[in-house]
Amino acid sequence: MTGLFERFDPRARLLAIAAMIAIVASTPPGALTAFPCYGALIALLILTGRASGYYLTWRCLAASPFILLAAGLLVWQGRAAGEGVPAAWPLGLSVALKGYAAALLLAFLTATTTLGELLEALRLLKAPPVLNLILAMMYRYTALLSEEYARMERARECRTVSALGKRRYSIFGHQFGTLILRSWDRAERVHAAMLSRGFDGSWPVRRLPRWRWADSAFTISIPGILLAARFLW
Amino acid sequence: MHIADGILPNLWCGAAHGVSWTAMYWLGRRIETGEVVRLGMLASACFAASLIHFPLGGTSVHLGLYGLAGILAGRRSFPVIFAALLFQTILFQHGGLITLGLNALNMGAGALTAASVWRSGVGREPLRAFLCGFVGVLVPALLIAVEFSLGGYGKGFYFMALLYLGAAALEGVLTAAVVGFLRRSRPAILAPCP
Repeated sequence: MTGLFERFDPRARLLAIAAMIAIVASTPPGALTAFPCYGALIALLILTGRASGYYLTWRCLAASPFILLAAGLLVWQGRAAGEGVPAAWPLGLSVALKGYAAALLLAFLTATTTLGELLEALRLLKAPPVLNLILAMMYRYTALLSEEYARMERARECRTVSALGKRRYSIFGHQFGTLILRSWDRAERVHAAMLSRGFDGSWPVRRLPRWRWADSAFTISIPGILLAARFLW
Repeated sequence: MHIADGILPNLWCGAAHGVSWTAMYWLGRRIETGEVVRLGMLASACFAASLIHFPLGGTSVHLGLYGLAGILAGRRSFPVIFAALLFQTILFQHGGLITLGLNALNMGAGALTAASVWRSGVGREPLRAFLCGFVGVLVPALLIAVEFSLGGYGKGFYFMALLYLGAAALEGVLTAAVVGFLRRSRPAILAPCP
């Protein structure tokens, strides 16, 4: 079952979310009045999709260290400059709110749009073919190579009876080297298999639904409302 | 360290997007499909390895492997890093969509510096490999510190960059170990890249 947001073309979703993040990020430092409106609009948008609240919260929390560090530095710098915390906190708060709003929007996009759809959207938006191909390979093989590394790690632990000590980094280096060798060899095999299936440099993808007027309306209207809030409040 | 959205001015992020997409097109042109497959697999391997954390001075750090990417892919490490960052942004929200260009330029500068150090041929190979890993981490950390300083965040990130010296040294040691292993087992991989 899909929500309203998921029915739009992935290109429309990607462009709308990118525009919304740019608008939120362009809010002047310390201007806090627009944020309740941003919050309401983002909440409404999230209600139209089928994203898990747990996933969104977790993703925002994962982005916290960098956002809070930047916001904290602004407040600390304001205090050091003799302005005092009361004068500096709106700056820090606005940076934190912008950071969290952007993280929430990005998490919502990834929760409602598969990586395959995003790759198709990027291809149709004329992203370089090299980028699409590298991303597609990463999409297919990252989990596989992570599991391969985990197997190597388990095998090493099973065969190592004492602590690694000073040799630790050398042994980890050899493990990474082995992983690179294996991925190199796998790349040769994968490429040969792709060529045997008639691969001509473009990634075969399923056909996207046609771009409809509703996609255009969505791409323009949602960021448009946010832009109005940005300038009116 | 990936810069999140909404923290640095949009104008900078837009300009960085322009530069990094241009670099992506420029450095990614005329790459054969077989090489792209290898680059994609290298990106996956580096990404898988970067998910592993190492203990360092009571805390833990994860590897960036930008220096190793510079050694193995040369100037084509930039498309690899751009793709890996986009992948991380989409899957894990490390960084942001608007700051993708800025993050790619920061990390890409580390990889390209490492590629230059590797190609320079100065010094013995283990030392050069160590330096590649070292600058692969330190150059992005310093660039981030400069950007935040110019963005009005003060000098706090310079202190952070200093803290990254330990991580850079660890990355240098691991890069030297990987290069030593590859030299013994498959030296062709270390052949000069375009």
